This record gives sequence, structure tokens and C-alpha cells, in this order.
Amino acid sequence: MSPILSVRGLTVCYPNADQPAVDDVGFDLAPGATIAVVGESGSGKSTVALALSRLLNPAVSIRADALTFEGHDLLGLPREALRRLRARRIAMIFQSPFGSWNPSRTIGAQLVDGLRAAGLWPERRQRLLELLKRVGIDDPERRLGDYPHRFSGGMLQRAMIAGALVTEPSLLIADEPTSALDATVQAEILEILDELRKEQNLALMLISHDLGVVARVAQHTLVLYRGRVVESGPTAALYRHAGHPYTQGLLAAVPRLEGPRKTPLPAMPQGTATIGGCVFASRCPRAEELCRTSAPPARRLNGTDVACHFAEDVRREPIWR
Amino acid sequence: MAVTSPLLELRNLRKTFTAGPHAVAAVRDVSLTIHPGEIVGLVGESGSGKSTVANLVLGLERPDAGEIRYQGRPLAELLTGSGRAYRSAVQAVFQDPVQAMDSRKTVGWSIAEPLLIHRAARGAALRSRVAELLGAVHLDPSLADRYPHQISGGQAQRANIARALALEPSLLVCDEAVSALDVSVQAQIMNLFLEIQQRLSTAMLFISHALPVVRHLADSMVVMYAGAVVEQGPTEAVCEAPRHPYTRLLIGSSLPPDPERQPVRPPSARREALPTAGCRFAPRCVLATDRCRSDDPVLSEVGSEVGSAHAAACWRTDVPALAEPVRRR
Ligand SMILES: Nc1ncnc2c1ncn2[C@@H]1O[C@H](COP(=O)(O)OP(=O)(O)OP(=O)(O)O)[C@@H](O)[C@H]1O
Ligand SMILES: Nc1ncnc2c1ncn2[C@@H]1O[C@H](COP(=O)(O)OP(=O)(O)OP(=O)(O)O)[C@@H](O)[C@H]1O
Ligand code: SF4
Ligand code: SF4
Ligand SMILES: [Mg+2]
Ligand SMILES: [Mg+2]
Repeated sequence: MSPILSVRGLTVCYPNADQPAVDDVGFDLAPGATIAVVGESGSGKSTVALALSRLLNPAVSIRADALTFEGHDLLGLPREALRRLRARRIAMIFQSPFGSWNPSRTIGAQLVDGLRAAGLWPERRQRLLELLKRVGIDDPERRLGDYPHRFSGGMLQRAMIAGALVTEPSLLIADEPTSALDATVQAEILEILDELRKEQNLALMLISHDLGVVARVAQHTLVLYRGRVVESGPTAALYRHAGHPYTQGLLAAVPRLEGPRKTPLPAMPQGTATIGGCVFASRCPRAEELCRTSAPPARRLNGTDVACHFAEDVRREPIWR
Repeated sequence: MAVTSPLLELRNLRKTFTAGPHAVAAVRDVSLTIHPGEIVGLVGESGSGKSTVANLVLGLERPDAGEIRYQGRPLAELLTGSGRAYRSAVQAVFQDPVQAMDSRKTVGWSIAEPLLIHRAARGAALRSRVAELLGAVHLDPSLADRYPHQISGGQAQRANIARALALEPSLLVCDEAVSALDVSVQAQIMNLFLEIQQRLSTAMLFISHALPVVRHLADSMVVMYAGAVVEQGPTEAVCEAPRHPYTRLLIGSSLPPDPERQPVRPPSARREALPTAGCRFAPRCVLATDRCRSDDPVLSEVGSEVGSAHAAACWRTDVPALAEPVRRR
């Protein structure tokens, strides 16, 4: 199946930054498929999302060898055409349930704005009410008259999902959609999102720093470190046979509900930015001279693409487990 | 641990806030005990009252009812006058490490400040104590001259912990102290808390909304829902044999970093407004009966071993778990 989204060599530089925030990122996303972008704070996850939807300020430089969505070149598309595409075909939801809503307007008025922008108001009114019910907002007609402060964080995120999916987009970019929510509400929202995704054959790009959420949701995962994809592959293979020290380090550091407790967690050291060579070298116990002089290219190894000179050794002899 | 006399005891605490026309019962009934050197974990969803409990313990809020005793003495009595002894014995670490520090003061100054205020050290002794504290949290002594914005979030949290340790407290109140940190930094700071417990026998009230974090650190734990304790007991008992439907839901909602071992979430009803009578969890509880909607359940022993101190506040703790806590999907 040909991908609906194809990204090659995406590089994003903020003005006055000495290194790109996103550096040579590439992936394909098939219709109805899910991909996750994981990494620690500042690794460039949100920048990838913003670049794809071209929501970055024009002073930010975005380069790519290819950035195609449903056959359109997203970088070459004129503003108006891009706006229309975004309103109907690409939906986005963000982390902060409160920050994403205007406190001085009703939930209904804000959802209607989205439909108007897509040219689908009032045609999709009934569908909006249906979707609100589906995501668990009872008596939606009455609740649409409420202001955001009358909703809990979880309800705002549900209303956001209904609003994002009512235009029947083919791609949903969700940047930390559940990070501000409690575990029980998070699990509920992820389930709703997954049901609707399957029903609408929606492709999902999930951005998250939470390796549990990614394990639950995504078929394919990209691990980002300082703007570079250090490892990518099918989620199951990546979690089971991580070949990059950074992937291993992230997985090993997560406290769990099973297994030993009250023992030291394997914790990667912190590092400094490096110029040239492997981006991870300053934190990597396995680093050698080669790592400091030459940047490792991504190679396919046991099902994942891994950018480490010594991935075979690292996989055989995990650095952190 | 249970044989020692308690370091801190909270008995039937209540705290209600009034915000305009509304009254919020932030803490409706909380009792818990912390023994010397013990880490007690406190979990619960946002708004369940965790920080209010922390603030009551720190003496930043006064309870409407109930009592706090430290080493057997009522807190109200300990806080009369300057309350200096209590305030040096009980220290806090909060969520945002950079904001918790004074941006105009160097890291070294921030760590020295409590020692100066409490006249615990000065001159050369002060400098060497600051260096020792930096060492205890694994920070390079050269960081003492930096300002908060010149260090990383993880370094700033270490500095806050060093400052909290300056007066050799017997209790640390940690309110979401690792929640804002990246996993690798979070793991380092969690390791530091364990090391502090082992080396200095410091007790902790460790508050987090993240169950796996609390399970990893705590010797015993307390689960709050809507201002009340719904379950408490030794950490293993609560995590491996949860008896309250909310604890079960929380465990089934916690997603491990493993695509092949995802939990099957127990069924739950979608949330509605909190009821003002009966069990506050009833609107989300698939086991709720009429009794649950009228009578507030009381915390009672559920442990199979006598004296295991595992208790839950639910009328139906006899019902077997609705889903295995963790199962292959
Ligand atoms: N508007 C901006 N101007 C300049 N630099 C920026 C801007 N936004 C982000 N950056 C920088 O770009 C890098 C990537 O940031 P980004 O927000 O994409 O990371 P992230 O992975 O989404 O992090 P988080 O998990 O904290 O959301 C960081 O070094 C950040 O400081
Ligand atoms: N000073 C205050 N005035 C009014 N209401 C308050 C005040 N402090 C807390 N509350 C309310 O009391 C309840 C409990 O709040 P608390 O901060 O203790 O919860 P929490 O469990 O710490 O939540 P979180 O996980 O979001 O930090 C909430 O409904 C909150 O809005
Ligand atoms: S290339 Fe070298 S420094 Fe980079 S991750 Fe691999 S071993 Fe470590
Ligand atoms: S008391 Fe009733 S409603 Fe409350 S948790 Fe137990 S079974 Fe559910
Ligand atoms: Mg981000
Ligand atoms: Mg709190």
C-alpha cells in the first residue's frame, strides 16, 4: 500500500540555533497505520509534528528531500491550499487540554469554528453530536453550550478528539495527547482513540515521551535523540531487541509494576552536546574513538534500523537492562 | 519497622476549602502512620487531595479536624512559637526543581541558607558542609557557584534535595518530586532517594500520581480517591492483591513499556460529577450497589494475614478482581 505520508531528510533549524532541532528525519506512514515518535524532552518530537503541519513560524528553516501527504508536496503547496488540506485531511491534537481551548468561548462555538474552516458546517452537525456521544460526553447538545472551565481535563481532551475527527481526516497528529491526564483517564482516551482510528481508517502519528503509551498504541516507533532518529522499527522488535544504547537506556530506566523494587534503576548518565561523530557519544559507555569522529549511519539489524557503530555488540551485550 | 514508635501520625484529618460559593472537601478523612526511616507512598489522581495532605504535614495548612502527631507530640503544639525544631526536622522537595530555587542566588547559597537561618554552621564549617551535601547528592562541588538557570533540571532537583538534607531532617515530604523529569533523570533521582533512605535513615512521605514510581520506592502505600484513603497497606500487598476497585482500575491503567505485556483494563463506567454521599467512586464503579450510593464505606482490614495492615474502604472487597491485573493481550 502506498504511504499517505512520506518524509525524507526532514531538517528543521530554529533561528540562531547552532544545531538543527530536527536533523535528517525520514519515515513512511501507511493509511490506517500508527507510528510513534519517542524521546526525552528537547529531542525534537514536537518540532517534527509542527514541521509536518507547517505550523512553524516562517523564520524557522524547514528543509526536506521529500514531504508528501496524499500525493501533495507539503513544502511546495501554496498557503491557501495547505490551509484547506489541513482543515479537512490532517487533524492535530495537543497535550494541554486547557491551553488548547479558548476559555472565553463555549465548547460548541469552538467546535463549529473547526467545521466552518473545513467548509463542513452545518452539514456535519449531526456527526459531531454522534462523535461527542461516542467519546463519552453525555447529552452533547446541552454540553456544547458550556464553557471550557465546566469540563474536566479528560472531557476537554475527549471533545478535542471529537472535533479533530469530525472532518474525517486521514491523518491525526497527536502530540502528547494524554500526558496531562491521570492514568485511568489516559487509558480510557487511548482506547477511544484506537476505536475511532480503526473505524475511520485513520493514520495516527503519536508523539510521546511515555514508553508505556507508545507500547500500547503504536505499530512502528521512531526513537529521537537530539533531533536524529537513532533507532526505528516495528514497536515489538524495537522494545524486545533494542540495538541502540539510548533505546536500551530509556527502556531500562522506567519503573515498573512487576519485578524488583527498591533496587537502583539503571540510569543513563547525562551528557553534553557533541559536534561531529555520534550524537549519543558523550553519554555512551560503549563509545570509542570512531564514535567521536564518525556519525554512524542507520543500518537494518534484526528488524530495526539502528544508528550505532557497534549495534551488534550492544544487542548481544545490552548496556542497560 | 512496625515495632518502632511512629515518627508521624495523621489521625482523621479533614480540610475543606471554600472557593466562592463552592466548598471543596480536599481531605475528607485521612489517617496514616510513618515510622522512622520508612518510605510511605501516597498515590491518587489529580485533585484527590495529595498535596493538601503534604501541606498539612508541612504545617502550611491547618486541619479543620483531626490531628497530626510528630514523635508523639501534637503538631499544633510543636508549631507554637517559631516551630523551628519541627521545621528543620521535616523538609520538602517539590515538583518543579528550577522554580523551587531562588533564581538570583547561587546553588551553593541556596544550600547554605537553611544552615545559616538555623545557625547550624558558618565560615569554613559552612563551606565544608555545603561541599559535603553536594557530594551526598552526587553534584560536582564546582556547581556551587552556578545559578539555577545554568544547570539542568536534574541537577537542580539534586540541589533541592541537598538543601532539604542540610538540617539532617528525619522526614522528607516529596510532592511529585520526580514527575517533571525525563526517565533517565527520574531514575537517577529515584536512586538518590533510595540511597538517602539507606544511608541516612530518612523517612519519606513520597507523593506521586504515578503508581510504578511509588511501588518502586515505597515500603507501604496509601491510595487516595476524592479526599479519602480508599486503600492502604504494605506496597506488595496493595500492588499484587489490590482490593479496592479504584486501585484495581489504576493498576490496569498503568501501561508498562512492553508491547507484549499490556494490561487488560478492568471495565469502568465513565466519570460523572462526584457524588456528595455514599462511596465517591460509585459513578465509575461497575460493582456499585444501592448501598454504595447511600453509605460511605469505611476503611477496614482486608489482609489475609492478621495484622498485615492491608485495608480498603469498599463494601464489596469480597468480589474477586474483574480482570487479572496484568495479562498478555
Ligand atoms: N520556538 C523555538 N525557538 C527556538 N528553539 C526551539 C523552539 N522550540 C523548540 N526549540 C528547541 O528545539 C529543540 C527541540 O524541541 P521540541 O519542542 O521539538 O522537543 P520535544 O521533543 O517536543 O520536547 P518536549 O518533550 O519537552 O515537548 C529543543 O532543543 C528546543 O529547545
Ligand atoms: N488553596 C485552595 N483553595 C481552594 N481549593 C483548593 C486549594 N488547594 C486545593 N484545593 C482543591 O482541593 C482539592 C485537592 O487538591 P490537591 O492539590 O490536594 O490535589 P492533588 O491530589 O495534589 O492533585 P494533583 O495531582 O493535581 O497535584 C482539589 O479539588 C483542589 O482544587
Ligand atoms: S555509535 Fe558509539 S557512541 Fe554512538 S551509540 Fe553506538 S557505541 Fe555509543
Ligand atoms: S463501595 Fe461500592 S461503589 Fe464504592 S468502590 Fe466499593 S463496590 Fe464500588
Ligand atoms: Mg514536545
Ligand atoms: Mg498535587
